[in-house]
Amino acid sequence: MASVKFWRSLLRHAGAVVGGAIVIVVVAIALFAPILAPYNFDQRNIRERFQPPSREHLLGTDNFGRDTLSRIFVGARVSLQVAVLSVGMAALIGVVLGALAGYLGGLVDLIVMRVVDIFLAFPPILLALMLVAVLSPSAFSVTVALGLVYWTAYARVIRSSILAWRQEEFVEASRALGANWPRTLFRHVLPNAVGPMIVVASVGMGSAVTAEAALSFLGLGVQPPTPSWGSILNTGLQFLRQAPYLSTFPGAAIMITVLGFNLLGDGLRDALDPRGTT
Amino acid sequence: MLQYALRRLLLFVPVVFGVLCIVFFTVRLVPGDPATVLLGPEGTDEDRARITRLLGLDRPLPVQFGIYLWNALQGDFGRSIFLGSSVRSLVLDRLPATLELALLAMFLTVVIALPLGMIAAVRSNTLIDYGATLLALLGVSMPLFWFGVLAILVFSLRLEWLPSFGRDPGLFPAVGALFSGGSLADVWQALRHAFLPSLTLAFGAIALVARLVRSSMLEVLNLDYVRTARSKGLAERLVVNKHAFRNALLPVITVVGLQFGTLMGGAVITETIFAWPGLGRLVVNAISQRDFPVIQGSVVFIAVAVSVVNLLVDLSYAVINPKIRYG
Repeated sequence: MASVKFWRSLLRHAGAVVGGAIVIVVVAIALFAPILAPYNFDQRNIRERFQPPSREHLLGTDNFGRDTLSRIFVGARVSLQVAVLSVGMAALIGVVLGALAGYLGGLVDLIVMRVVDIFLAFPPILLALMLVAVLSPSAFSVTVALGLVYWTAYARVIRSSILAWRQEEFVEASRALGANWPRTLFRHVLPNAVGPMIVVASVGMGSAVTAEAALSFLGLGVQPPTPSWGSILNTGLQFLRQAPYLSTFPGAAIMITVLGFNLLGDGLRDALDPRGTT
Repeated sequence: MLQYALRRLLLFVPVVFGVLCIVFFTVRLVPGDPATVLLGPEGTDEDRARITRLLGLDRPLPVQFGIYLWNALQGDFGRSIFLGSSVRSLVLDRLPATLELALLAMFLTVVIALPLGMIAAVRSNTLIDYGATLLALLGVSMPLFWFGVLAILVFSLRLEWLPSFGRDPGLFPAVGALFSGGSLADVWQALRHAFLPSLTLAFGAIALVARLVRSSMLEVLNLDYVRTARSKGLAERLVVNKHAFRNALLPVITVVGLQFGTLMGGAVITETIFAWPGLGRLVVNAISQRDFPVIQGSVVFIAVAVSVVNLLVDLSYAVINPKIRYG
């Protein structure tokens, strides 16, 4: 439940404000990429290849003479789309399983938490790579893979949050009034317990942006001609001596975006829990 | 303690079984017939039958799973489709290179992050603290592949201080050769090659651990026993280094240990950028070629290795911290 106190403390948090501003700008760029981009992202012009940053091409051009700024703008779209959908998928799986584990306890809890342990044994990027390889590389596969990789964080957070809320009197009241467990869990306990999840989701957006870029960097993510920050960076690596700017700008775009989500996540955590401000 | 260790060991068994299951069924999820996927449209029926037999795909699924489990428990994951050699020997060949990177990265993490976090905590809310905090924040947000690319750009291409790719001759072999008349120049050469990749691999961990050391130190510095130490008239240096630091180190040890998993994940990308002939590169190549036995074997190997290290970290933490043992 977002209260006035929560918003006030969030808006007083310098990091959260900076992070929030970055996120808003990146989202706006992603939404309006076709309008904001000075050129078509796939418009090739061999005579203009490897142009350094100039007035015509603010961030230079790539090996096909395509405008890097336009490609980064469109790349923002791809990146955020994958991040939002994969975080949504991870949260959905994590919340349902975590809530069941926390509320029902016993065998369900044991099984869910063991499955979490199993997933945590894999380095995330490795599991994502394997899943993408199986599904064959595309934006859709990357989304599904990241959703399946990152759900454990949500399950753990929701589980411990539910454990804390389960003892409250209103939960007992709901049970005493004869509500069955799914109703008590999903109508009464869960809406109260999802608060901490927003922090995980914010930081998770950052991780998803990085992971998508990493997969595309390895050539196993979003496929050409659709630009992704990771694949532009990979092209940059191949022409590092000729065109160092080609790998500098997409990397900066990734870092600024992830920084925005991390700062926002830190601010959200502090606003939700005033004790953890060290 | 024994009970805790046994309980923790018992939890380890289902994790390994689960890892084996996930890898097996994921690879079986490949849409269509794997042999066709591997051979492409040009493959003949004879080739397809050969590949199907080679992968053991001509038997019923439960039988395949049983055979796979039995072989996996003996460390046998079959043969690479493209390289011909056994997956086990491929993994074992590449392992030293990756271990070398991971160990160097851990070393760099500890040497850089501990002092950085401590200084930030002791001088909290000064310019040094803000600098260290900003560095840590950037480190956490910076994708390691970008850091790697920038490192090549600056240290290899511009300054020409360090090589940008390859493992030559490798730190382990170079150090080993020292006992049989090898030269120190080789060790130096190996270190020069390993420096940029291991720094790239360590960068995120350095930021994370520095942040953790800072907050853990700040917490401990406010505790009563530290105040007692100060009020006894102990020099500040002693209070910080001897009394506070040791306790602040407890959570840090766990996190540094658990970084092993992150490092193994990072190795996949770092080894690709720096053309480092380790496990990570083996996996990436296998994935782009869809060499399923190699994918299966190396992913299982990495996941189990990470679980073993995490198990050891948990157990050693219980040895250090009695709260866990009896909690």
